Amino acid sequence: MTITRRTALKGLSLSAGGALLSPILEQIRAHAAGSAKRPPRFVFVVEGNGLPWNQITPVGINRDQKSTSLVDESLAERELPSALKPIEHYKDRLTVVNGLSGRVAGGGHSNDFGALGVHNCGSDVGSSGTPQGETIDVALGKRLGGIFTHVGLGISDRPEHNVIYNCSAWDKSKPLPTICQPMSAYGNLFGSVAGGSSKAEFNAKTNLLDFLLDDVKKLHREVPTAERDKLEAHLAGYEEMRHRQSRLNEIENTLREQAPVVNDKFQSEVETDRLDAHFDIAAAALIGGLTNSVTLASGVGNPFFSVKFTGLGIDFGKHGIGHGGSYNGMSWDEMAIKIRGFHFELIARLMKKLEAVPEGDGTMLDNTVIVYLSDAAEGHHSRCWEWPFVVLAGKHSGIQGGRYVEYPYYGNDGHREIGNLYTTLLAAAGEHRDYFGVRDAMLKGKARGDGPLPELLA
Amino acid sequence: MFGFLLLCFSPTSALAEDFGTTVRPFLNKYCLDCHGPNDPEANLALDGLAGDLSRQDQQKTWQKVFEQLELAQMPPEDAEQPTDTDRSRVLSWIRTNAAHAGVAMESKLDRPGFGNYVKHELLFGDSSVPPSYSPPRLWRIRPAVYHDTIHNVAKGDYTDPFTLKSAGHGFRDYANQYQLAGPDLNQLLTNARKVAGQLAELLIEDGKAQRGSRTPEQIFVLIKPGNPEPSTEEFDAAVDWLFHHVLLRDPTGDERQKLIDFTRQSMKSDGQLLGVRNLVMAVLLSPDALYRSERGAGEPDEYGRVPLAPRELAYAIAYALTDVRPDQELLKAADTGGLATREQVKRQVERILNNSKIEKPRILGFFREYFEYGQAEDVFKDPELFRSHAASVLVRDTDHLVLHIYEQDKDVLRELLTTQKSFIEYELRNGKPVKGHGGRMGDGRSYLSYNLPLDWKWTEKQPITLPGSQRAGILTQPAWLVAKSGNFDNHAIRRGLWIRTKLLGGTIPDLPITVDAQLPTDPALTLRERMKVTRETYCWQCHSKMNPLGLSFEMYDHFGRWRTRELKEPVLSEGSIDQSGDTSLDGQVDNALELVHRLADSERVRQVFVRHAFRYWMGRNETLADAATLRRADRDYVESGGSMKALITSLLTSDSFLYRK
Repeated sequence: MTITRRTALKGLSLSAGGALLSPILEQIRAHAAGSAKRPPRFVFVVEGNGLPWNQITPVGINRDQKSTSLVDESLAERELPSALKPIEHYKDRLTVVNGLSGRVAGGGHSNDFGALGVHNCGSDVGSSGTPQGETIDVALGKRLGGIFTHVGLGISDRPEHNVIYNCSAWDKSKPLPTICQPMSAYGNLFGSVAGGSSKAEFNAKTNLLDFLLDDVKKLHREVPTAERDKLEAHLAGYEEMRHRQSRLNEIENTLREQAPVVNDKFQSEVETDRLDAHFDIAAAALIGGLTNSVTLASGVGNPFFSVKFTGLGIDFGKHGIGHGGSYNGMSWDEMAIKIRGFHFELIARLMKKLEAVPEGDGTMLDNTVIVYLSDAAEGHHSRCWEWPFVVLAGKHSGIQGGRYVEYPYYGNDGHREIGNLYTTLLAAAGEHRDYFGVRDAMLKGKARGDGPLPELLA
Repeated sequence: MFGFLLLCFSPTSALAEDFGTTVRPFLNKYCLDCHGPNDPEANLALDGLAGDLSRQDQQKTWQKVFEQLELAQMPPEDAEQPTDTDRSRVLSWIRTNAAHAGVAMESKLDRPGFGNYVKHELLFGDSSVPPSYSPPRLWRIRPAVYHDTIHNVAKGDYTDPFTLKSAGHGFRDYANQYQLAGPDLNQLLTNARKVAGQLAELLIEDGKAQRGSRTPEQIFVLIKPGNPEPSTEEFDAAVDWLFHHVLLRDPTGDERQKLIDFTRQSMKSDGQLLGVRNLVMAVLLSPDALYRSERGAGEPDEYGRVPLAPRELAYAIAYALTDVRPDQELLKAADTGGLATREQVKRQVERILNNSKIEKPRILGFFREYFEYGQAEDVFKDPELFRSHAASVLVRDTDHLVLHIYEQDKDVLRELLTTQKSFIEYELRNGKPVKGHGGRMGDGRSYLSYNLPLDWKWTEKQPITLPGSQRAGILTQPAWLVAKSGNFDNHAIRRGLWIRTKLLGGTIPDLPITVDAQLPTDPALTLRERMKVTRETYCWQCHSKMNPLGLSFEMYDHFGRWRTRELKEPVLSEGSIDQSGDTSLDGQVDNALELVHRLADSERVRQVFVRHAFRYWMGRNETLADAATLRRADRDYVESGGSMKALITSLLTSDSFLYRK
């Protein structure tokens, strides 16, 4: 059953209704209105190859993995594990969540779209499968609106990949791209004000889009009904671009100020550089008001996950690391923690940039939630009995910071699923649902529950 | 599917009242025992379904019912089964009513990997069948064709705006698989801008206007200073040039006028240069340049079918065999009535097939996507365990073997499944054989994957013959064995799945989401022993169709090396063929060699191969309406002594290829 993307987009542009202004304008408006409350924006950082719980659990917490009771305590007196050291400064915003399950996603090297979609997308070695519904990052993007509903950036194990489809989806069978080349992402997001291109070029593009729209519409009238869907997607694509042209026009000055500075990292052969550049682009896109939902996917999905982090001196694929391999005197977990630490360094830098931009009564960081997870749940060959998360929640985001929360193990009373966590994020964005994604039919009674996780709501 | 079964059942009679007389009784009889009001299976209750597809709260449920019935997965095998006619009656009712309600039922049967759900016996039986056809369609061009089009007019590297997705076990380039949407269009626009920059490039040297090296005179006239309002003739010439180079045809009067109006207006508002660049981009991005149209033209015949338009046919033939647009001869034939008869089409297809100067990557592409041995390069292997492993070398060697068998063109499928020949570390450079290597992969001794002695010396006299006690055909080539292996083990399930679906034409449902699909990891046990967990009744329903086939390949290790021992004990390689649909095939086998030889003798296996060739060259799954095409293709293959060229020619001159309805 398909509702065309076009219809969906129409709905979206109506609901977005020009509500989105750049943070700077927003700030002026908020001041004028005497209130600063706005729903938070979201950044998902997804790292491939699994996240063993002990790599993010504070030192000294001895988990009973099959626990039967809820743990909910302050992180203030706890020492962070080495992978999380880079975000020490933001410890009061950090919440570590253990014990959620995500069995419906199926498990394996990656759960692909299932990790953010809470469903089984039928992926396998060599294929990311087909999304069976929208993913949480996109659901939030739709809720929050934006010139770009969602921005997907990331790296793949093959440097030549430009765009891959691996973890985000608009709807069933409608995967959204992860752009792997920083230059390409830069062009997409900041092309209207990119160096050298004039206002005239921007206008010429608008004129061209109008012509192309006409061209496709003409064909649309001529083809048999069954083929119209294809052209509707094509039309919707142009309409979206056309709409975006108008919106970009409105915020041209902000964009000029906020566009990231293109440097060598943007075209580097080295994956750490490209990831770094993507974080720069993400920060600029958020600050420039281009989007409210970004996913940064680092080696996510079949068959893109075996990235070599040569920039960290690890000329050895993550797949090999996942299989317990060693390289150059480093054991698998030393390498995994080093790579994870690098991701948190990038996260810390992103937070710092957001913190520097005033918004409402505080800063942009206060209205931002960063969620870190692995598409492969708890391990290299994930089985999703549990799915560890790191949440960095802005002060005004409606999500709790500074906590260590651990839910009872799969099947025990009080157990909860990743769908509950995503329901919580939606609630923070002002959208109330019973549940996000597909429920685990094997969980019965008090081992399952509807709605958000009260422990995480501020 | 079930197209002709439905002829007796007019869709217009599918009104709401049919729900009461047809659909509700069907649900009551076959579904409600398990999917009734009390604790329904899979939490799916069907008792409350009303006969109204416009009810949004029930659309998802109807989609599920539709899917299960269409794939004949429900009712379960051990329950009473409805007749094909009853089943298709309900399916048709759902489809029609959904269409009335403005929603489309998604048919899995159209997706890559689901072709086998059409019953083999109905396709190849003795029943009389109506003439075949394809639905009219728009087909997004392939990435390779896109690049060819661009490089015909411009230089430089262009980021791929779209890809062919790997589709698991299906073929990749299906007509219904791809749309052009948001991000693709962005990239297309970026590329078009780069091309336009070359085709409309103005250089000022010593104060004099010059045209860029790729800029044709016809476009230069429009952009050079001092000609702010070019004449209609000058515009005509530029539009013609673009059409001839990008779309390989003349513009229609209407197309010409629209483009000129647009360019004039854009030049006025965006400036002379950008206006002309917009003209270039408008042609590069026209639907004609991005889709291949297969709508058909002309008067319908007595079956309501129209033939492809001559130009459509020329493109269809070119894209079936090559990654480039039709050559001059094909276009000329199209424009001068030279593709009007089946015999004329056949001559063109044979001309291209027999001309060795025309590159035909689509041929090797078929075998690669069919056998899937290219996936060997995606399987991570620990170099510590076997330093000589070099997946890229193995894959290339199997490529050469496939092409060798294709060139012999005799009993092709049997040869593919049983040959003892092999290429080893073989590469052609400028047409000359040289010793191949795997770049940074392996230690340069990948011949060890084939159990050749350590002191084996490379020779250019290839293929060489390997012992018949060790190898027989593609499925025993290290490339295929590695492609169907895990990181540390053979993957008997994936091997069995491939044989079940690609040779026996069987189906295996998706892994249920409630299954925890993991084998125990005890290193003291053989794979065969560890796979005993799949013997549980619930698992065995599906695994019985895969494991006994795949386990016969235990005579190889997971690097593809032939072996006699496993964990210090003699290796067990027996297996069996069961539930194949061809009783002469069923029974025990001692090992993979016996298995592949038996399969190679089977009529059913040959026909399943033909079905797969059909899918690749038609870009869609077969339906019952294609029975005539498939039977003819099978006959042509057999009567030509197993010629792949004859099979391809048969498909490309079939009604399914030539007609639209």
